[in-house]
Amino acid sequence: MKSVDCVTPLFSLCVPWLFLSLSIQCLLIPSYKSTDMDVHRYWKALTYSYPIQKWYTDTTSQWTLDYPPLFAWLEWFLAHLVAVVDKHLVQLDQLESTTLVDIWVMRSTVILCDLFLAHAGYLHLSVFRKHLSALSDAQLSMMFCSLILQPSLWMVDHIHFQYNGFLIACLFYASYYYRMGQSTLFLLSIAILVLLKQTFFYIVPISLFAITCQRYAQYHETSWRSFISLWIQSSLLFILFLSIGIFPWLYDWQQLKILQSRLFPFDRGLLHAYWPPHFWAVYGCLDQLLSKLTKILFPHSWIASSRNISSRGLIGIMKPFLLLPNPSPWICHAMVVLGMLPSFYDLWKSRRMLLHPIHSMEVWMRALTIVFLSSFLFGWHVHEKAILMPQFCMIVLCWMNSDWLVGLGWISTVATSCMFPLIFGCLERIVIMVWIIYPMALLYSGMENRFRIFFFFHEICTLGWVIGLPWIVQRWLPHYAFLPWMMLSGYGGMITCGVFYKVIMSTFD
Amino acid sequence: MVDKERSQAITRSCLDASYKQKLLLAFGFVVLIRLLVSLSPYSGQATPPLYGDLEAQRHWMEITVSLPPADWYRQTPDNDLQYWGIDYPPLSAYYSWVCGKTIEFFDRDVVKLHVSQGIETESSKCLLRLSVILSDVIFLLPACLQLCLKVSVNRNNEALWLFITTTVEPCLLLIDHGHFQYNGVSIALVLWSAISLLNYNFVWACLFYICSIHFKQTSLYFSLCFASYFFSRLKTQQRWKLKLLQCAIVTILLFVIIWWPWLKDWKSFSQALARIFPVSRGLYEDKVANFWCTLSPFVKMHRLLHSSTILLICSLLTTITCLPFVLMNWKQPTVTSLLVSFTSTSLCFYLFSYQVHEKQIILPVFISQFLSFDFPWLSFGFSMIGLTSMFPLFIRENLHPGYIGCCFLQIWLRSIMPRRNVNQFKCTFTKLLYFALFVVLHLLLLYAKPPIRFPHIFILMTTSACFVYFVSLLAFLIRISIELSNCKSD
Repeated sequence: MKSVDCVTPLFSLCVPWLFLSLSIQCLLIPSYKSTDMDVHRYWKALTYSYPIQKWYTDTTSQWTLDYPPLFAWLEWFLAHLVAVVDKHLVQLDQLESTTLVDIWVMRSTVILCDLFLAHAGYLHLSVFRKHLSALSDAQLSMMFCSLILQPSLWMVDHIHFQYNGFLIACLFYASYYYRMGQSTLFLLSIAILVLLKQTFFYIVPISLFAITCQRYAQYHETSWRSFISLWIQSSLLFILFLSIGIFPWLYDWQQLKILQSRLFPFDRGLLHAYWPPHFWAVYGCLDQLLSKLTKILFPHSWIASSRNISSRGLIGIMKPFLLLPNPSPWICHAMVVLGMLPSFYDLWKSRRMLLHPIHSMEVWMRALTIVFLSSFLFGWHVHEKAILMPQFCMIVLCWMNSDWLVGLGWISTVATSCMFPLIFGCLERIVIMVWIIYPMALLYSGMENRFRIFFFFHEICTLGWVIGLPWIVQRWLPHYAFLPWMMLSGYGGMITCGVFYKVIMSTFD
Repeated sequence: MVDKERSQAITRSCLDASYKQKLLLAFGFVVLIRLLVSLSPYSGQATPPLYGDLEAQRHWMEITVSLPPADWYRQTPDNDLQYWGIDYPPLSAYYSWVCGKTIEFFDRDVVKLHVSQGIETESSKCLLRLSVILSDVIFLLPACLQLCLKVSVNRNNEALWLFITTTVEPCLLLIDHGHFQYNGVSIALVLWSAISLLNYNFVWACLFYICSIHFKQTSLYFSLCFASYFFSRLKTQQRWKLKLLQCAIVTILLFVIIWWPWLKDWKSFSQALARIFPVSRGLYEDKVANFWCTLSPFVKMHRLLHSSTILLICSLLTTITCLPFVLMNWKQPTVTSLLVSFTSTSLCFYLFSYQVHEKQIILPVFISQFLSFDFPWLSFGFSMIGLTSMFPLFIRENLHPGYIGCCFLQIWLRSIMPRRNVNQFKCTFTKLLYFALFVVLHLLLLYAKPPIRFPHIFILMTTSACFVYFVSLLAFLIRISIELSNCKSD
């Protein structure tokens, strides 16, 4: 038995690495920023200056608020915090001029919000330390590092500018309450998550199902009726939380309709600018290839005269594909739901394990990974950033089971490389190339030999897509400016599909 | 049931990595940090007509690539010495030529004569930044690794930690990769000469040291202790006279080779020398945390005395303060005494010598990082306060984010230090007081408006506080040197 005094407190294991993460985030402050920073700045100014009723109706700017109410409240809170330091930042008539201090203050709000991720990770690690005494100090600090030192998150949050770290933190808080069996708090945090970003609607069914399964197992009940009643209870509680969140908009039908059209814009087309590495990217590549072939084989058909536009990276095209059938939003949703189903089976099958704080975490995170991957692969108008969610779930899975390491390796590289086109600036791109090699360096030595060669090949390929192909295209094929990004996302899409298949298969073991 | 076999997967990968893999990771990390610091704004960004140090270095490349060496230090129609004329020794100019040629290969416009003046494109910034990083990778990192392996007993984790600590030393990082200079090369040459001395390679030591002086004249700060260490090690050797002769021949040969383009007539040589040692430029530049700058509010030296008298006083004071370390080297030429003496003599030169810049604090601070295991608090405090002494410069160049980032990096490194003794990092009342004082000074520098009569009052306060720390550090180092030179073992 170890004496209590000898154990290093978890806090002093984690804090040094938090400083490392903070330091890298600070060094990223002067880096390239996208228009997303202007968008978020406008939202801050909007929520700071106008009453609630005008938040979703204001159309003076091109960047209308299209995040759910709680996120608007977050912006409101941050705006009031920021106004103490830099009043100029939150004035609606000053949006044209951006000073250096404005950028620093905006960036530091992201750094501040990212601290929640570190705290959520810390909570999880404290559970691990309590229940797995075999974990050494070094291992625990490594687990913490794997969470807070993620290049893909840095790229989206600290270079491109968004608040994904905070969203992931909320997801982790929810998972913490789940593993501790605190169902009310769990449902509350899921509701908060949905109210922060609408894409989290995809995890609502699985969350309700998971909490019902857990409570069902808790009471050792066996009848279908009690399961249904538990399910209705949690659903009602969830709906209650949700309606509290949108209360200021609930009493006005007109406002609610505006809110709905802002949050779920189906007219924006299947593909987002620069395709994310999902199923539709592979589908699109296939379409391109087939139409090219048809043009060569049948030079007089209608295809030869029509131009293929799917590779342009434009938003709002309803029918991007030329030869293959174009899916409607409802087909996409049906595919997402179909892809999710194995997670329900998995949860139901292992419901006895849901009471243990370690095993429940594994089952729950596996289910979440499936849901996130499914919604990312088949969803309508998915952004590249959505790949962060399955990636972070897989990181937690890797803490518990080394079988996931290979999958994480694939996904991390895809996640880092798919955001490459978002970020401009020569030095920034070189930094990202180092970051693409980073998962290789970290994970390589942990893998079995038979995976190593594939993984190495994968890394080289990704680097090739990112560095080599754009250069070749720029030099010799200037008309095909989007070709490299299409190839990159098509390749990444295949990898992601493969990982999805592997995850699905693992549930049937 | 808890399945121990399956758990802790991600952690295993890093912990089981072999020494070589860890070394590779450390190298990658250090380069990554350099890249990240390079994202910061550089000295004189978008401030015509004179810009800053980045433009100076670029202009030197432009001059050296286009003009023959004889014209480099001379006022000609093509070389306006008023616009960032070269004032570094020839080896630095040669290095500018190498960098210029390399950059010319990628982008012709960056170093085109006359046309490129004040060029600020994406590719110019990127290429120049990468040239500093690349020269660090070639010169500085291998030298640091070599010396770290010499200093630390345990090959594995300690050496790697020391390697990272020394190479991401905040002062050098921010000046070289933020502000933009090539200090890493001259420091690397000094380190190589130190390593050669430790290996009893006297010829190589001379060679590297001469190269270092000819890269940047500030390497002369190490000359006194280098000489004493050199002779103290040489005297124990067999056939030391022959070795001394070899060294002398190599030194003279190297000198001739480096100066060859200017040796043809006396005038061009003296012109170059006058550019490299600008005695007329005054006692110090900007606000420096040294003796003379701290004295200046009370006594205006340049009004009281002639500049040649001041020069004499400076050299006398510097030599006297360096003496204990020279003696220590003569008595006990050990690894620790080498590092201590290199740190302290360069600190003495910074504090008392003539024509000092605020950036020259990086020399003692950088060498002191190798003492991190022997005197952890010294090297940590020295690097932080050395950084603070340059804070006014960083404010001017909008380097605040990099400054904070580097401070966090230091805190991280010190808190994961292997072989850590808790007592070494004990918080005393004096340390807390000093910390509070510096926090107040930072806030004053950032937010307070100075009174109109004394526009530099806060900067002077900061540099004076740093000066007090440096002097107490020097006193501590003198005590250590006396202890070390009296110790019998070894």
